[in-house]
Amino acid sequence: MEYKNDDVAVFVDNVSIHFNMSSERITSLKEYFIKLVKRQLFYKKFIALENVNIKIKKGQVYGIVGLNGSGKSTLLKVICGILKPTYGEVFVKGKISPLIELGAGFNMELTARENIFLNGAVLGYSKKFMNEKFDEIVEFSEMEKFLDVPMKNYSSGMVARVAFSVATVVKPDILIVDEILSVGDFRFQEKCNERIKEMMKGKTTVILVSHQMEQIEKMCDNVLWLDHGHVKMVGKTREVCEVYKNS
Amino acid sequence: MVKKYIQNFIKYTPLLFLLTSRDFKLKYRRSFLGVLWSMLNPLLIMVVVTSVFSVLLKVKASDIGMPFAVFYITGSLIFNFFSEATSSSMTAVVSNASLIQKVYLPKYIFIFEKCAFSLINMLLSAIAVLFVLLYYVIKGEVTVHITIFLIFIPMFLTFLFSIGVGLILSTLTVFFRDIVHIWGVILTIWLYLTPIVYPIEILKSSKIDWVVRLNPLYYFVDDLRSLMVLGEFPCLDHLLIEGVVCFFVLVFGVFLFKKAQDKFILHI
Repeated sequence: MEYKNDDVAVFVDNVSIHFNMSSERITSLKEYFIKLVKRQLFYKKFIALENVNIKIKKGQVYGIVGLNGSGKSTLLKVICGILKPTYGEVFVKGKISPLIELGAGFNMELTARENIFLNGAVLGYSKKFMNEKFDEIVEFSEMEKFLDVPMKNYSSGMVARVAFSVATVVKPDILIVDEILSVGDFRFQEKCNERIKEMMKGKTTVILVSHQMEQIEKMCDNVLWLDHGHVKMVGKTREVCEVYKNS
Repeated sequence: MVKKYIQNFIKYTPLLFLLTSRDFKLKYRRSFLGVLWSMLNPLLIMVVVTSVFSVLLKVKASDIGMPFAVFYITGSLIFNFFSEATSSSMTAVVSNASLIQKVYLPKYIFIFEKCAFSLINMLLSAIAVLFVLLYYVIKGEVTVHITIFLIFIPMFLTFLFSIGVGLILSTLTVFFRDIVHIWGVILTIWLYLTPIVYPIEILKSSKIDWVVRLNPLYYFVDDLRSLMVLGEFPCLDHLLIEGVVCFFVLVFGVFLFKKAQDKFILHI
């Protein structure tokens, strides 16, 4: 009920995610029935997240740290609505723009122009909106010359430029950033950082996952430390980072 | 609740259009005749099948009420659509795994898209059918009636039926990839149980007559022929059977898909 509070942007309420990890993956019908009859359908339960509670206020820059496999990306996927929690609920207020995987939905056979519109639609933007913003996207990516070249001929850096430009064209209410600030060459990285900082200054809530502690310390107000799916510590950036680094 | 679904659907309609046009562009990219192939292909196959079967089966035009070429191409119009739509929707979820794992999207969009793309292909092939019809009208072997304007009814019903089947198949495929292999066999059986190269009257005395009459595609094909060539309005019990079948397959498909879709991500 605390969610009704107006200044909360993301409220993760006691969320747990459990996966059934069968020792081997069963993808054929025959196998399934044989195992069913033999009563060998055992699953190992894998706990990806356990009783995670977070409240992120509007306009906050919220960092998530933890070792590989601690559940950071799973948590982001739950917030985005890609994964449904096994238990608990997630409330999100406002439009989310996920910068989780850049260029999801790019088809390399198509040209950049076609891909920009396709990617915009994947993110749920209207056609009119994309028409308005098209020039801005192209300008930011600096790919004017190669607009009508199939993207399979692009270098990975060029693909990343286009992808970042599409994904950040709106000023979303909630921006989710997962280790993507290492996009393209250093000049473009600066440009990306500029753009993200600009969003942070505004009313956008930012959730940032990074292994670069410097970045977290510089940008975040609050930090959550995840360890094997459990919340180890939440609090002010400096306090959490100190304990985390010394652990 | 329902309003929320509709709003969500409207939000993602541009995606539906773009995915369809993507498929369209990719299908004809770098082919010299491009979209013409959608019309040329059924015509060429019709010529082959007609020349083979007019020797083998010796179906008389008087038995089926129309020239064999017309009989075949109208039947295959419906069946090819069904076969293409279901086969491509079957893998729609699995093959878009990279997208589904990274961005939130209503997943049924992918099945809709495949069926819509197949529908466009059917409409293009229908132009070829009209040319064949025109040829026989000029030859004086066929007369066209006003009912031809109603051919969208069996087409649309087949479309609904295919979406239902597509939803069911795509769900099953996520959990059991066997479906992909077996579906080709099922489609072949289905093809021979649908009166496309033979008139249903041939089966009157045989044991599998009732099997064919259980086949929803038989009704769609039959209605298309009567509207397009014979100038008869489909009888009421046909329409009733079609409506009920479409409704139940669609509802079952939506139910199954909705129930399973949250687990997709763990299996793709």
